[in-house]
Amino acid sequence: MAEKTVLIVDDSRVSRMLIKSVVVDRHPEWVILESGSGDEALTHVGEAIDLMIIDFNMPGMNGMMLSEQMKAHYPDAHISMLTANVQDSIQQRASALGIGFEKKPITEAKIANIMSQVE
Amino acid sequence: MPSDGKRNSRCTAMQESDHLFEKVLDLSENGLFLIDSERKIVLWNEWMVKASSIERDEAIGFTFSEVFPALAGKRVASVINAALDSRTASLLSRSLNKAIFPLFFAGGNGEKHRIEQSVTVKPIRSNGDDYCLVQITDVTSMVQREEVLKVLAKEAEEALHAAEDVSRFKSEFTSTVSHELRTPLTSIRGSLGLVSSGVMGALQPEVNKLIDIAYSNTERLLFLINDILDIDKIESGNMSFVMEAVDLMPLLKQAIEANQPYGDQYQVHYCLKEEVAQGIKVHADRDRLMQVFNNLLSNAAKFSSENSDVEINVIQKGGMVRVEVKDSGIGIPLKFQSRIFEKFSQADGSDTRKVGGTGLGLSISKAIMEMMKGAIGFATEEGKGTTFYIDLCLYDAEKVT
Amino acid sequence: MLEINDIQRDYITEVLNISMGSAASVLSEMVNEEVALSVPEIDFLQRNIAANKFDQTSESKMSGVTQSMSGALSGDALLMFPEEKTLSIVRILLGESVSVENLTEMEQEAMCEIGNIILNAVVSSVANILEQEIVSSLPRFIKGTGKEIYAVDAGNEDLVMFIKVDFGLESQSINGYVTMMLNVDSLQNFMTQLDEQIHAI
Repeated sequence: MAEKTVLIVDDSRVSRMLIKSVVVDRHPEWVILESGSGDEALTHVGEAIDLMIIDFNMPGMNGMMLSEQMKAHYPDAHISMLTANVQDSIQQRASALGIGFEKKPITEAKIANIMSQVE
Repeated sequence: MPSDGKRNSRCTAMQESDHLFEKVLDLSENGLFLIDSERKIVLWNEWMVKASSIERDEAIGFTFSEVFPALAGKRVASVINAALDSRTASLLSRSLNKAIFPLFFAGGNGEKHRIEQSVTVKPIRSNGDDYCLVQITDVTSMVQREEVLKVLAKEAEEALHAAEDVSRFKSEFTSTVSHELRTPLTSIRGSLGLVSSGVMGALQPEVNKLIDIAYSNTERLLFLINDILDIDKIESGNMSFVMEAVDLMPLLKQAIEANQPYGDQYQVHYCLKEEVAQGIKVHADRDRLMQVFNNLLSNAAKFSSENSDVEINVIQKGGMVRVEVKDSGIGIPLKFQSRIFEKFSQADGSDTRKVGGTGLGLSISKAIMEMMKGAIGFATEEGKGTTFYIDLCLYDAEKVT
Repeated sequence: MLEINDIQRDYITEVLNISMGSAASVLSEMVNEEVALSVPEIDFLQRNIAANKFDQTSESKMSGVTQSMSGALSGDALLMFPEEKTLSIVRILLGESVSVENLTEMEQEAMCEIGNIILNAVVSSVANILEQEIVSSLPRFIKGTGKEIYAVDAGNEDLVMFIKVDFGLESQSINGYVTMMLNVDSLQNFMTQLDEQIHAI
């Protein structure tokens, strides 16, 4: 299977650790990029990215704004929002933007489901 | 055997205590039932039997959804699950959940009425087993009481609106009518004045006398209308004030001069006794202050005995200046003193004709003084006279800028 | 004195984000509007200091609902609104327009239920994530200034974990918050559990 690059954007270090552990477990060969904020994530623009897992509630730019920008830079990449903010309105905005949506808490099954989009 | 006997007696004691426990539950004024972790009902008190018409043997041993099939999937079912699975307590209020359980009480004429309910669901753990206690309180009478309360609140609100409407109408009516009256009255007074002055030709003395009566009564009506308009402005908060530094002594002297002809009618002389330094300035609206002076000076003349002096004193006290107007009249009767600044109040209603005036002047003066952050008051002694005073703020240029 | 390190704080914040997220979703469904949430504020304080801190942030009258917790975590959870907002949120939900100045008894009960639903969503979500059991009590309606509400804690110097999350409903301009005061004796156990979960990653 081809090597993929995943960008994980979440202000919570524990959440990034959790997501990373599932990714590494399933695909040790994948490259993992981590960012603690939207602005930090934008510094990776230009690098090859296949999958983005983005939190919604973050200090500064929220995940929806980041996703919009990333969508423009990477029309072919898969973006999934993984968030504690599980209100219907957020889900609707995600689907309007054409990105995936998963509810926190983070579980192995949810991450596996997101990864299956690019496997 | 003795040991069996002992065990038996313990069993009996336990059975008795269970029996007592059940009796207590049956006497409860609330509906009570207990559900075990299998969702089976294990306790069903007498209140439940009566209100639901479900007998104890039709409930105990059956699951909640067997007893209440219509409630499957409803919030009450999910909070029972939450109490059993995650030990959370829940409240289902009557306002957010209309008639949760199908429970009824019998009315007087055999009719059945639905019971309005407030329901609590609590987790209980006993000997390692989880249970859920459902308690139902009949809040029917509270609901009825609050419905009455809401009707009353609504009525009170409507009554308040109606009163506001009436008051607004009254105020609009007063101001419209007064304006409409003032215009023709002014022209009548003007015409009467011309006729009386003889420019239209000399008049018979009898005619002249009648014209003078008509003239002075027209003038009284105009004063009354102007006062009513002032009161209306004060009450609706539309009286505007231009607060400035007013040179006090020249204004007061001007007021005294202007009122002397009126004083002459009563053979009363105004006499300025004490003065403050020339150039002292007060913080006031010039025209309104003049209006207050006119009111106090004319009142003093009216209520003084003939051939007497009205004394005027000006005293400075700290940041205030007091202007006193002292008459030698009959004084204000004690029982009337508290109403002196009320509208249409003169000590003796029958007195009005003799002394003239609308009975609005002092009430207007008081409102004006309050608007100018000053004060008005009086001291009186029956038979000896009355002193009215006003307190004005000294103009403090620094404070104002 | 109990200390928390960065990673523990990060984890608690995330647990609360998720729990408040599910509570906000419940509230959002009730009022049919998106609920904005702040980042949870977490502090270790003496109970009386926490009460004062609370009072400084809200001098006006508040009203709301409190529930106590026992089990893996013990303490109190509160849902608070400025008093006049409580009136409007209850009446939005009940669809009533009567202008009685205070909540009637039935309306207070309705407010208790609203608080109960939201606080249960928070508490049971915390319990689920931590795989622990937290028993919640029935809700109680409270009102007054922060000082009055916490008057009972005036002399209490026990250490608590003070957690506060603000939320808002934009179109109604209603702001409120959820606070929790967790007793430290139960926190030791909670932190152990937290560390185990962190190490398991």
